[in-house]
Order: sequence, then C-alpha cells, then structure tokens
Amino acid sequence: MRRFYKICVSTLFIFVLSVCIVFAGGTKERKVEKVPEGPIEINWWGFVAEDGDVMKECLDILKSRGEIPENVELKITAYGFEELYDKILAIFTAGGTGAPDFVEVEISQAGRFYKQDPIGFMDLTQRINNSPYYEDQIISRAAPYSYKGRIYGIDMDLSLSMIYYRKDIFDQYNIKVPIETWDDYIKAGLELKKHGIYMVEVPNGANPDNFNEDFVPQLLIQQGGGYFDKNGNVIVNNQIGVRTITFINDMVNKYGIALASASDIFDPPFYAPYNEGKVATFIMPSWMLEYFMKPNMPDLSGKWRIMPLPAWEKGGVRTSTAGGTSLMITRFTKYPDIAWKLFEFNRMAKEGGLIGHKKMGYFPPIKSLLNDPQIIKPDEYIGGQSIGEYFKTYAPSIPEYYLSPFWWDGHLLMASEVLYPVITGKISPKVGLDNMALKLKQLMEQ
Amino acid sequence: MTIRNRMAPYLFIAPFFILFFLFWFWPVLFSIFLSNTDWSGVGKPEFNNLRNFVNLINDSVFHITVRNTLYIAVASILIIAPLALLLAILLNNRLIKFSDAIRLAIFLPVVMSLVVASMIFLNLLDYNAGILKYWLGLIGLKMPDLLSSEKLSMPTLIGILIWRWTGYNMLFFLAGLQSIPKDVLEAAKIDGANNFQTFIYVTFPMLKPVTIFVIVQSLIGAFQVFEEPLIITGGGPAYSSLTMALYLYNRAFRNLRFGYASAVALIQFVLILLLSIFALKVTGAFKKE
Repeated sequence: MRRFYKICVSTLFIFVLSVCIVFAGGTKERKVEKVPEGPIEINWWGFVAEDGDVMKECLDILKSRGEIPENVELKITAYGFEELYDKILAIFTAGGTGAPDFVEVEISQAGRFYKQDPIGFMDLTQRINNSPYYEDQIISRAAPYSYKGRIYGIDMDLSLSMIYYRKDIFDQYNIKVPIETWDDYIKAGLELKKHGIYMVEVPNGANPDNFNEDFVPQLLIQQGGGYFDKNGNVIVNNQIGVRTITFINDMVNKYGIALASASDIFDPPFYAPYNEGKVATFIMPSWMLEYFMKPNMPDLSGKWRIMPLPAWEKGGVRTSTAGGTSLMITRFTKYPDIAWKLFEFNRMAKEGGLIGHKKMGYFPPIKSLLNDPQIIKPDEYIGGQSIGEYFKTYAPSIPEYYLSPFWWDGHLLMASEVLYPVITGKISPKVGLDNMALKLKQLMEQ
Repeated sequence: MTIRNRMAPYLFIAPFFILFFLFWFWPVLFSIFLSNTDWSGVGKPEFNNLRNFVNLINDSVFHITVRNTLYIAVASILIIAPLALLLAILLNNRLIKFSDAIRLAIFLPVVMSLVVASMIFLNLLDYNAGILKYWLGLIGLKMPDLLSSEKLSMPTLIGILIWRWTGYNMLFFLAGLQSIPKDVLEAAKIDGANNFQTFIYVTFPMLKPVTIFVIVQSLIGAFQVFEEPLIITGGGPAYSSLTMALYLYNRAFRNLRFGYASAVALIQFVLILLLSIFALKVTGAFKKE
C-alpha cells in the first residue's frame, strides 16, 4: 500500500510540474506561416462594431485589386469598452493564446499596454516610415501611440477640440460669437445664468471609473501642459495645471455657470440637461459630434454651431486635442503582412480614410484630405457649418500630446485626488494637484 | 483484493483532487509567491523582499478600503442578517396570504444579473436626471446626491446590498425555521410561553447553526463586494466606496501590479480567516453541547 501511495503522489507531482512548465513558458510570438489555401480569418476586436465595418470595406477593396488574397475574411467582434481592454491584457498576460489580429485601442487605454515588456502589439515604426503614404500623414497623431521611440498605431481622427454651442440659446440671450478668451466665456456664462441656463457640464470626479476624462486634459494641452511631458515626467501640478483646475472650480463654485455632473458622455443622463435646454455648450473634440451628440440629441439637429476654443490670453492657441482611437496589430497575428496591408490602407491611404469618414464621420489625419470636398462638406446638424473647414484652419496648430504607461492612472487620480475634493471645497487646486503628482510618482516608482 | 480493485476508489476521487490542485491550491500558492514580487503579467516576476507589504502599510488608500469593507461586513451582520430573519419569521406564518409570491419577490434580486442591476441603479439614482429624482419631485421632495456624496455613497451601496442579499439569507433562515420540530414549539406553548418567549428561548437557540452559517458567509461575502462599487460608484467619490476587492482588481488589471494585488489578496484572506474565527467563537460554534 505504501508503495502504491508513493507511486500516486509521484505521478501527481510530475503531472502538475509538467503543466506548470508548459504554462510558465512565457510569451511567444506566433511564427509567420505561409498563407494557406483554405479560408483565412483575420480577427478584429473593438468597442465600436461599425469601425469594423469600415475595415471590412477596406478589405473588400484590397481583395478586388488582388492586393490581398481572396480567401481572407474579416471577423468583427465588439466588446464593452472596459471589457475589451481587460480581455486583451489578460490574453497578453497568458501568452497571447486567442489574441485577435487587430485591436481598436482607445487613447486612454493605450498606456496600459506600455507597462508590459514586451508590449503585446506589433512595432510598426519601420513599416510606417517606409510606407508610400508616410509624407501624407499628420504624423503627430501617431505620438500618443508611440512609446520609447517605437510606433504602434496611428489615430483614426484628428480629434481637435472646439466649442459646440446652442445658437438658438445664444441668439435668444444676445451672446456674441466667436468668444475670444476664457474670460469672455465666463462673462457669457454669467449672462446665461440670469436665465437659469448653465454654460457647460463639467465632470465632478465622483466616479473615477465613469467620468468625462477628456475634459481636463484638453484644457491642459491647449496651454502646452498635460499630465506628463515628452520624457514621461509628471507635470500636472505645474502653473498650467493650477490655472486649469482653478478655472474649472471657479466656473462651478465662484460663478455658478457650470453644472458639475457625475455622468460620463457614454451615459444617457449626461445629455438630459442638454436636451432640456439647461446647458448651452460642450467643450469637446470633433469626434463628439458623430459618436455622441447626434445619437443622444437627435432633436437638437440644426441648433448647434461650432467655434474654436477661447484662448487663455488674447492671440493664444485656439484649439487642443483629446481622445482618439488607434488600430493596432497584435504581435501574435499569424499573418503580419496581410494585417499590415489592411492597416496601411485603412489608416494611411486617402481612400481608406475617406471610407472611415463617410461611414463613421471621423476626420483622418491625412494632409491631402484636408481640402477634399467630401471632408469639408457642410453638416446639417451644426447648421450647415463644416468641421472639415475648421480642421483646415486649426489642424496645423494642434498641440502635441504625450502619453505614458500611467496615463489611465492619471485619469483615476485626477477624479479622486483633484476634481472631487476641489469642487466640493475640501482642498485647493494646488494641494489636489500636488497630491495627484505625488501618488503618480509613487505608482511609477513601484 | 487485486491492485485494480484497490486502485479503483482513488481513481474515482483523483479528478476532483487534480482539478482542486490545479484551480485552487496551485493558484493560491502562486498568489502567495507573487505577493513578494513585482510582476506586470509578462516576463519573470522579480522578488522585492516584502516591499509590497511595507508599501501596503503606508498606503492610505488601502487603509480606506479596509475600513469600507469592514463597514460593509458590520452592516451585513447587523442589518441584512436580522432583516432576513425577520422576513423569514413573517413569511413562515401560515396566516400571511400569498407568502410564496412574496418570497419569490424578495428572492428575485439574488438571481438578477449584478451588472444589469447595477446599471439600473446607476440610472435610477443619477442626481441630474435619475428616475428617483423625478419620483421625489412629484411629492415635493429634493433628491439628495447619493452617488456624488462621500457621506452618502457607502450607505447607498449598503442599501443596494441589502436589496440584493436579504432574500438569499432569508432562504436559509426559512429552511431553519421549517426544520424545527413542531412538537417542541407546542410544548413551549403548553408550558405557557407567549410568541416572544417561544422565539427567544426555543426558536432562536435552535436556529444557532443556521445563524452561524449566515453570519460567516455574510462576512466572506462582504469582503468580496466588487460589481456594485465598480459599476455604480467606481469606488468614489474620493475612495469612499472603494472596497478591498475592487482595489485588488484595480491594482492587478489597471495598474498591472499583480504582485501588489496578490499582497492585498493575502491580507484579505487573513482578515477573513481571523474575523470568521472570531465570529464562530462569539456565536459559540466551538462549544460542545
């Protein structure tokens, strides 16, 4: 009997050890295989299924030209926003098994992947630099998706910030446009306040997981600030940061012209005050129009207009940027060359960019498209104005935008350490920003 | 007996032990190992000489999560369990009409998807445009800012947990009440005990095993509260509703600090163990009858 026990325990031990050795093998990239004759499935994962449809149209065009084999098919899978990135991280952590070929990576999530070494996405630096479309790119839109000199993606959109305002409300209460400075913006807000209308909805930071995290960064970036500088140093608590948070706090508490809200732009309650005519402007990037305003406020079509951001000083920068989404190729793809061809056409080619614009309304960072009549056409929702014309004017002054592996941590801390305690009057903007900077640095050092 | 006959029972139980080792024992060992390392999920974990635990001692946010989680544990024992017992006593009474339907209604939150329920509460309780604001407005009341207030976010969360888990615990008490022999209760009545005295001196002592079970599993459940703070409050405002489970998740999957998260998990395990032993001692579970 004792011998039997010994055999059983030894067998179990060897089995478990073998399993551990197999799973502890570390991450491996899949070897490039020859394109087989049977159907090839390229997997695209994103959080907006319609963006996958854009990719599908690009694939069909490339197949019709013989640039991609006929037996390549695209499988589109859309997940919830948070779920997608948790899933991808778990897959990368587990060695890449089950990884898709493409992932739609939203800008706030990109930094999370930079924490892993090696990064789970394919380094596209050489391919992008050698692409025949390279000179036509507004290449600053690759900066957020670059890390330590390597490029992993290019944004699908220029994402220029602007003011969307209710023309009918402004006309009713005699508010003159364009508003030149933020001081003028406050004056306009005080005028609307007399009639029970707020100028803007701002995040109050109560829910760090669910707030409009682009609101603060775009104001920082407009002034040449941000959470990090280009070397990854924390700069959020500099003079620019203090001025920005003081401005937001003053709009809520000192002037009472801003509605502090716990909702995010993804939540229906966020639009309720706008639909009721209680808030007159958005301070948001260009993608806000197609993805959020039109679906959530269809009855307000024709009542909105756009104008550049007010400057912090007369003659200052009139635009900024925030948000954005890139496409990235995972390094576990079995068909890197096919994936690259699709990426290049979808992201860098004028024709692919136009497909994205027509289907989804975003404005690709491609120079030759800035003057394209299909891009600068009028939009009925904003009363016949054209966002494309706006881009022609302001795209050259788009500020640079530096991401970091700790960008998302910065958002969470901005909500919990800065926005909420400052807006509720517990601490000053300087103290809140110093707390945020300290905690960020502690995270970076751990 | 042949070797085959002797091996047969062990072969029958082997699958359970293999799976137990692979999916419980090994991950627990690995987690204890990870708690002493820095690891982002890729590459090799690096030993850091208990630095994770030192950092936890100095981590003010972690202290808040422990306080919040203990707050939920106390509420589970002092509110949910007694409420479940009260409902069980009421619904065990034959005089209550439609008791089956009422039991079902109270139990339904348990089977509802946590994510769906949390999303509904998020829209219900929104300060600017929530449905609750509309209902309160109809009767002239002002909607308090339940989700954006440091003072109210945790009571709101506990209210949602009461809604969710009372029915679950009520079932255990109901089963316990129905297992009490009727002749014991009749004997108490014959001896002149009123309903209250019968409950205190006969029913409640006989419910002791069920009560101990409900208290201990409520304690364990309190330390696992995750979905509601994740979806409804994000752990805010200002960490006021951040639980240990959500903090552990954030550190692991948001910050990619699996070592640090494992240290949190280990401390969570120790706290659950100590509190469970304490609860068992206080309730007399270890006393021989």
